[in-house]
Amino acid sequence: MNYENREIVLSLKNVRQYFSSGFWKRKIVVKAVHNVSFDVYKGEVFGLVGESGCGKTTTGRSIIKLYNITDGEIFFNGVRISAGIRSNVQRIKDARKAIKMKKAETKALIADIKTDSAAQSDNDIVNRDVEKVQEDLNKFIAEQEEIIQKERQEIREKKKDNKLNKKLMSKMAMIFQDPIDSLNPRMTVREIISEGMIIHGIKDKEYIDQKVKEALRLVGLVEEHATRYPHEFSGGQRQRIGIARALVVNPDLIIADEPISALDVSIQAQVINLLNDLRKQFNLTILFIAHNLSVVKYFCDRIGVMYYGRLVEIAPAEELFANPLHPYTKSLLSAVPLPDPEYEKNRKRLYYVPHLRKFTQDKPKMVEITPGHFVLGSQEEIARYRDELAGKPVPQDPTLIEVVE
Amino acid sequence: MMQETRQDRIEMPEDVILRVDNLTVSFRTPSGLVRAVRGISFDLKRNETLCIVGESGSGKSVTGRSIMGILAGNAIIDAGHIYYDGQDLLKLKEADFYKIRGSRIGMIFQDPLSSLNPIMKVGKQLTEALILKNKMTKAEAKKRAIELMHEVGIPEPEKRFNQYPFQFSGGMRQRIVIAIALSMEPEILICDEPTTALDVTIQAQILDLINKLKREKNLTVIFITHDLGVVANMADRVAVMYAGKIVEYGKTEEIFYDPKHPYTWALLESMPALKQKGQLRAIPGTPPNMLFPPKGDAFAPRNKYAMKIDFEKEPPFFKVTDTHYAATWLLHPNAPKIESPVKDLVRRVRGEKDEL
Repeated sequence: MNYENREIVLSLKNVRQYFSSGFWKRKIVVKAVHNVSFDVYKGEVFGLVGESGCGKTTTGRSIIKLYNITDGEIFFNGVRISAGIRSNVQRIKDARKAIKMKKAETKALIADIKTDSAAQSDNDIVNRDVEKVQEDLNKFIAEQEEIIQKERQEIREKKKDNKLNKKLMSKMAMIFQDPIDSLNPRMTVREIISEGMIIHGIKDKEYIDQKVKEALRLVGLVEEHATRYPHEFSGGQRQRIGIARALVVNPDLIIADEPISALDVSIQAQVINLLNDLRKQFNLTILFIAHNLSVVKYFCDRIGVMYYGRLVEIAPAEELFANPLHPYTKSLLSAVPLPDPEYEKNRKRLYYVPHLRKFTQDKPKMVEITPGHFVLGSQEEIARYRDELAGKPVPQDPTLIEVVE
Repeated sequence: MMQETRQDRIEMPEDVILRVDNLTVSFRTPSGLVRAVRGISFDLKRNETLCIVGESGSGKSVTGRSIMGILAGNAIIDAGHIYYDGQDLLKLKEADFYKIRGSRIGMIFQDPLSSLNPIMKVGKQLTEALILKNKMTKAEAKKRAIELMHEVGIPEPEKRFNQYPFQFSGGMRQRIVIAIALSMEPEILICDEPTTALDVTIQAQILDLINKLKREKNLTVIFITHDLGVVANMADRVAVMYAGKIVEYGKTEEIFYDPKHPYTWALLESMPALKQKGQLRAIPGTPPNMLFPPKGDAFAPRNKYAMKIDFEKEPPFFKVTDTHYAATWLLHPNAPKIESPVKDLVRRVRGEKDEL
């Protein structure tokens, strides 16, 4: 598929989301999302997979501004909606430190010059030397101050961008994982669905009523359901209410955070079918967060695999399943249980053991290995992945352990 | 009096370790009686893994809990027997039951976090039963506990012994729960959705572990799940439950390659196979409300192959092979012949083999 000319709806650039707890010595920083960059194109379904705790839900929540990101930038429809200031703060700190060091250095230098010249009586030369050193210092400080001013300006701009842009954010909606917890038990379905519109400033009651009815019909419920309370519905129906709530604001982007994992097996297929229909009908862009790989493969156009806060591989769905490259993706694919006893009895499982990785000087980078297929790896690993794609025999990945039952 | 005891003790075939006979369980609720299990019967054979599959509310967990004797207070056992070791577990007094519970029949629950005590060190939870039941000294119990932790694959057991559950990851917690269940060396292990709360990679590890321990310790396993992929991996025999009844049971190959009940078809169809595109074949409607158990075949309203008789009369079990039975009128000699829609499922899944 050609992604070159397609419109980018959502773009993440080096996004980091850290959570800290405790103070001073007991301070713990959890790096939930660690340098994640990806683009989501208009009309596509982008899947994020990974084990629990790998930061996929946090990524989704950061995008919709439930958290303020620590660093990096998020663009939505071409506008920066959130930006983190950690790197700016870090650069300011570095500059201050450099100034401090330089000052101490200069002081020592001047003292040196003075002791050296104690023997000499020519004060002019000494003064000239000292002046020269002082000048150097002042120049350096001015340079660093300029950097600090620039960073401060950037921080101000970022903070301005971080302010909630209601008009833009109303084009983004979220479907939550748990259909029971995400619906207020004291509100009727009508109130739940219309809440978003009311917050966005729509006051026309008739218009709201009509939209609610329309949304209910779209998700396969009937208009009479509008006056009921969430507890009167089954799990699948509640998730439909959640979907209706997301749809009613005519969003450009829907973030679906594991919308089916809390549902029964027989209901899951219904909800996937519904999402699929709606997606075609409205040309929706969906960021689909899940851990069930067969569902992700079925539903998504492109898939990003996350591992411990990092994206390790991005590829079109077919490509990812046909040519998984990163060892974690391989182990993930080998763990998917299939409803076929004979296959299951002879399956080989691959375990990913990252400790076995050889740490070299060059840090792993995201590299586009074939068009649209990105993988994280050091230069040596990337070379091996290329050989693997070319069909050459390659040594077994050192971080993968094969287990035969 | 004599007669009653004779009735209680029954002789079972050598290879049957546990027999559930016409078990019927209801729950008293403010809105009425919920019929959770409606007369199920099965034999558990020694050293096999029996998987019970079904969606939530189908009564599979209640079955497991009845065997353990840990039903909630509002449960009523309307009828039935559970025979183990020649005696009926349902008639046992609590004073006798505690000799069986845990030490002869062990259980692993779904959520490893809520089945461990959060304010008690893991080591203490492991040694508790050993000290109380096996009358071990603390030192002996600790030695045994560390052995057990090693067996279930916990690295550095000496250090982990003194940690709290919250310091363990989900998979490690489930390993601790398994170690606790195995500490009394039970014959039968009931696993109630042990991997539902875990990820695919961790799930694979836990399933491997259960299989390994089963081989090493000659366990008999009842595995309760809703994931057919897991069933294919674990089971020797499968029982499919719907609305409090077993609708089909047989060997794993029979259930997956030649299912006969429309509900089993629907379950297999609704899973997206890795190669599938296009519309998923979802099961329409929702499971029945067990406050008002439906008349006839409970699956009939959601079943596109339903016949008139399905709404009126409950189907009996029809024999397919010696080991394979299904409760559907479609197997009646007078029923129209319907080609199983999942016949090509095996091919569908096989095709993916090369891909993975």
